[in-house]
Amino acid sequence: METIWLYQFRLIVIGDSTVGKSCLIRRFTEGRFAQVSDPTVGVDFFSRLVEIEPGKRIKLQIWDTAGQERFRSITRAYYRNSVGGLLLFDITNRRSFQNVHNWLEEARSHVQPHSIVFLLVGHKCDLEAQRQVSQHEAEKLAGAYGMRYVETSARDAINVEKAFVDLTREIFELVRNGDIKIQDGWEGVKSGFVPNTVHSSEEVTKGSRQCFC
Amino acid sequence: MAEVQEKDKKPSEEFTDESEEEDSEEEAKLKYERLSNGVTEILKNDAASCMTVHDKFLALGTHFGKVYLLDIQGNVTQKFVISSVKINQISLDESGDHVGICSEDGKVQVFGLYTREGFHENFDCPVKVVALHPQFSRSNCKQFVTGGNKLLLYERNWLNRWKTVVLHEGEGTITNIQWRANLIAWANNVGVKIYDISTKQRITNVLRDNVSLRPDMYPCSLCWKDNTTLIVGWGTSIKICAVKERNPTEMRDLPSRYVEIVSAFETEFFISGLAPLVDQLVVLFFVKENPDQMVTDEECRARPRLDIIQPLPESYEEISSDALTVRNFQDNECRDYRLAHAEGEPLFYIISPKDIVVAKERDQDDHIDWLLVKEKYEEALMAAEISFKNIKRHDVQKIGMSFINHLVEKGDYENAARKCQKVLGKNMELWENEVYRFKTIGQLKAISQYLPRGDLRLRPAIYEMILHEFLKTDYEGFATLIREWPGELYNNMAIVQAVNDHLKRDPSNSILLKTLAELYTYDQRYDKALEIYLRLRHKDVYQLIHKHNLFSSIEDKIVLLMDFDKEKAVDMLLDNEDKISIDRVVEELANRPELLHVYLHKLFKRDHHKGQKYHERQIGLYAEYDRPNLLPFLRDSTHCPLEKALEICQQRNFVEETVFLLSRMGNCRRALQMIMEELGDVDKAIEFAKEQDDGELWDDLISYSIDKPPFITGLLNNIGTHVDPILLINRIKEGMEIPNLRDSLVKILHDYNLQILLREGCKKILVADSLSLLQKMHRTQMRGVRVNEDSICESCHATILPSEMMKSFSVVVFHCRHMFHKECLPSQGTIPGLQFCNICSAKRRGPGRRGKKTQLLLKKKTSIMPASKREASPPDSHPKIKKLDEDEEDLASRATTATDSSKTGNMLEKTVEPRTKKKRSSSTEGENTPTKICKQSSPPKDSSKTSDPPLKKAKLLNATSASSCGETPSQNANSKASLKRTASTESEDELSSSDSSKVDFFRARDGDDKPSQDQTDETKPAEAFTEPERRDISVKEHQHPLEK
Repeated sequence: METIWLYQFRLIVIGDSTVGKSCLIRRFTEGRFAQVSDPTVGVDFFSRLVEIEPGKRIKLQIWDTAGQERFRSITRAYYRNSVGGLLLFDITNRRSFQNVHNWLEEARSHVQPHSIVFLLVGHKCDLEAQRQVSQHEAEKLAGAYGMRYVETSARDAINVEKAFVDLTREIFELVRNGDIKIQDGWEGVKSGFVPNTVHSSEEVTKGSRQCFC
Repeated sequence: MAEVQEKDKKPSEEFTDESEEEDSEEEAKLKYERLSNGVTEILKNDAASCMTVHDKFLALGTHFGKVYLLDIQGNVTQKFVISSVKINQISLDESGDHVGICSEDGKVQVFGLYTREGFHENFDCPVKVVALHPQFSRSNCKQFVTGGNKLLLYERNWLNRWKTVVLHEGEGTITNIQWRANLIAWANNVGVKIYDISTKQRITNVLRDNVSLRPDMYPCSLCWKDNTTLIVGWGTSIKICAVKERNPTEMRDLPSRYVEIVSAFETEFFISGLAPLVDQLVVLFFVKENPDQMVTDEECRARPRLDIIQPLPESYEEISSDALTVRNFQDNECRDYRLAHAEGEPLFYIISPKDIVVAKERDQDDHIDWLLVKEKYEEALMAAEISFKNIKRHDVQKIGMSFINHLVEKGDYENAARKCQKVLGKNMELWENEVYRFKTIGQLKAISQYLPRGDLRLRPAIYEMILHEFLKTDYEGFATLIREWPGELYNNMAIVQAVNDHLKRDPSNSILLKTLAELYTYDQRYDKALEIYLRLRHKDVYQLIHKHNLFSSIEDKIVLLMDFDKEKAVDMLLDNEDKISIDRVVEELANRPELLHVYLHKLFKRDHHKGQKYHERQIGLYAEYDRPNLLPFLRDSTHCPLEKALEICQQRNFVEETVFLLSRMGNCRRALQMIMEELGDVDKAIEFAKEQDDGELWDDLISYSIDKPPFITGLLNNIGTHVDPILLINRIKEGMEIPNLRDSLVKILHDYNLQILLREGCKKILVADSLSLLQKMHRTQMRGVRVNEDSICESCHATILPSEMMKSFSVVVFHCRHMFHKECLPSQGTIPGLQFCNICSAKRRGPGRRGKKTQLLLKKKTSIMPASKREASPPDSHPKIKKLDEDEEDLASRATTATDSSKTGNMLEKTVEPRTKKKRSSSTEGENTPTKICKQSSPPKDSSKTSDPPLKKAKLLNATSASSCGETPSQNANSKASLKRTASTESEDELSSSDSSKVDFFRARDGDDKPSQDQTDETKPAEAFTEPERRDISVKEHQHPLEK
């Protein structure tokens, strides 16, 4: 029997190789951190449910992509079917920060006519000593592209949950407002199978609660 | 991208690496073809991720989440949009009606291809693999397994709901599943496991060897070779696992089946795919040029290789290895390649993201292709001929043509031409083209002998062209062709014309002439042919004549033919006498007597009677040309006129022939004279005389020779056995000197001596014979005679014994077994001693022996008789015998003197006379006495015999005398004694005769013969010892002792 979820969002994680994409995802989906990991080949996918509001569970399907140039042509297919993405750079690696622009450009060129909600993530924030990209710098860039910025660490589990949940909430809002529509043949957002009673009662309670607010 | 877009239709060279393997003389085992058409389109923008092969179609999955059904040419028949991301696996059941698809985003769809109804499920992890039950179409087999992070078995229950069972989990992502019959094999990060669905038990775990390799980068390859053999390829190691039934005794709670690794070995490169090929394996290898260096460098990814290997328990043998140039191979990783194979036929699909290549086992066409590329035309041709039914693309004739082209290019015109025969067969057009080609390269000669000349005929122009070519350059070859080719291949007239043109330039070329003759022969212009042959003096001329029966046309050419080869010509003429008459030939040869002779001579040899009218002519010819054969001819011919022959021979002074002719004509004396006079050859003369056997001739010879001492010598030397030498010696004139007289005389005497020795030997033999016969006679006579109740008197026919035994009686029993009552004998009591058996004497015709015998037996018989009787008879006979004996002696002495006096006073005779006297007397005695006895004693019936001529009578009486001689001893009291006496006298006589009998015998015989025999008798000494005479002698001999 399938877990009950309201929507399924497909997210994609991109960024230069070795910025820690796979590690971040694993920390989020499996709750653990692997000291050593092989470079990702192609794409990999993981899923996890997040409860953005009580009773409102969103299923996240997170695609881990290979950062290496060689696999780009294959990973393109995944942009198209994603509704949101985490754009990672390594705060200890300036080059990876500089490449953020390129990643964004590539993603945008491939997702047409859809759009992707991106979140800029400065990873490996536990390595404060080796920081090459300042938070300010990053926030400025994020602002320039209309993205939010968050700094995370998979090793120390800093902001991992927040990063995914924030993105999910943002998308959820867009979906609820109708800015993002569920379309056939597009797998970025799918509505799940929710028992009517639960769904309606939650909706009701949610609504009534809002009324109270 | 650009590379993908280019439309490459073919061929295998594009895929395979020619660098090392292809240069070797070994032919590749597989051929490769790029899957194109729809596939090319698909791969332009998409990339292949997986493919599954069914007998009838292909199912291709792409990175963009689409599944295409393709026909085997690569045309899209159906398209399913499954997902937006990579399709990981497509599984088809055996019927090909159902498909299971899983994709990277965790989607699993299992549905009927024609119903689209089925199962859809989304997993929260990528599903790498799905496998349907092989018999998924059956309602009771609605099962499939999926492999993500756990191995799930789906089963549809009776409510049409799908029930899930986790078969295994916890060992990482499941990367491969292969379901065969009841066994499901899968691979996870740890190893390969097999689940037996019938017993719901896991039966094995084959661990991964090289755990340092990332399982997602170097996935496991699995394939079932058959229902119980799984092949596992992982990294660089291959394991062949055999599922076996466990022995029930050791089963306990263990699974009923177990797995044995029958073969495990390491390969050089990373395995991307596996497929069985009979007992061998097809392995797709991912090759890294420098495996030590990690993925980062793009250049290190080389082309994948498809190898056929023969697995051994701990190693393998490489059968073939091809490096494949697939598009974008530089971009591919080990896991990007897949190898799919069709269950039924040996087709292998190499799937790479941007290229799909089909490997096929090379068929006969491919084999021929390869052979052609390698310029092994001969083999290609052979292969094509052997399997001409199976080859589709090739054609024996085309291969042959290219072979011919190749040979021509190489300059091996001879072989090229030879191949034409085989390759072009009966295709006239091809033949003509080929001939023209050979003409343009100036090699008409090469092809000439292979041109068809049997059922298939080219246009005459072709043949003529070749003949002209030869005529220009090679008369020999031209001649050979003319001889070999049937005359109707070309226009005879044209060729004759051409030959004649050439002959004008070279009139005496014998080859051309001969060929021309043959051409004429074909054309049946035999007279012309004959003319040429005769001109060439060619031996075939006879054959030609014979073959074509040209006798009428050679009538006037006989002389020519004869001049050329007498023997053959004559043989031919004689063999065909019926066609060319003898008369005709003779007429033709009239002016050439020497040839005529040869002809007639042969004719005569064949048949003495043929051509008899020419025999007369032949005499002259023989005399002229062939004297040695003249005499044989004269001898054998019965038709030649003797006078004419004699005339010729005399003219030419051919003495021998003349002599022969004379003797033949009966003129022996003249012939002899010729021998003596012309030849002076006494031996020949003697020979002649012997041949003719004529006394007169001998006389002539002697009288002719008498004054010629050398002749006399010759005569003396040879005459002895034919004529009495005395005749000759007497005639020798006194005082004549004769060369070698002594030797001749010695020779005569010697011959004489020899004859006497011969006669003596004969005499000894006769005496011995007589003696043994006499002994035999005695033995017979001494046997008893049985007289019993049954015996009858031959006269009165009453029983011989009286019924009353008391009464005395007399019986006479003769040696002939006839018995009489004494009273019954007619002349009873008159001359008791000289009684004869009535019956036998009535029959008597000479054989007195029986009588004699009976007499002897009578005597014995009498001994049985009463003594008085016995005594009475013998004294009666005895005095009579005595008297007879005396008479005989008297007569003998008288006769001896008489015969002696009649003899000529020969010296030789005189010397032996004293001894012969006795003998002679005995012989005369033998002649006379019996006669007397007969006259005296025989009954009146015998008188008729006495009137016979003296000689005959004498002979007759010789025999009767035996009876008388037998009688004599029988009258004596003791026959034994008399026998003894005979024997002793015999030996005495032998002794006495041994020293002197030679002459003695000769004389006696001589004397005997004299009155009746003439000279000729002398010539046959052997005949002197004839039967009657011998008997004569024996009788004489035996009479001697008795006389005494």
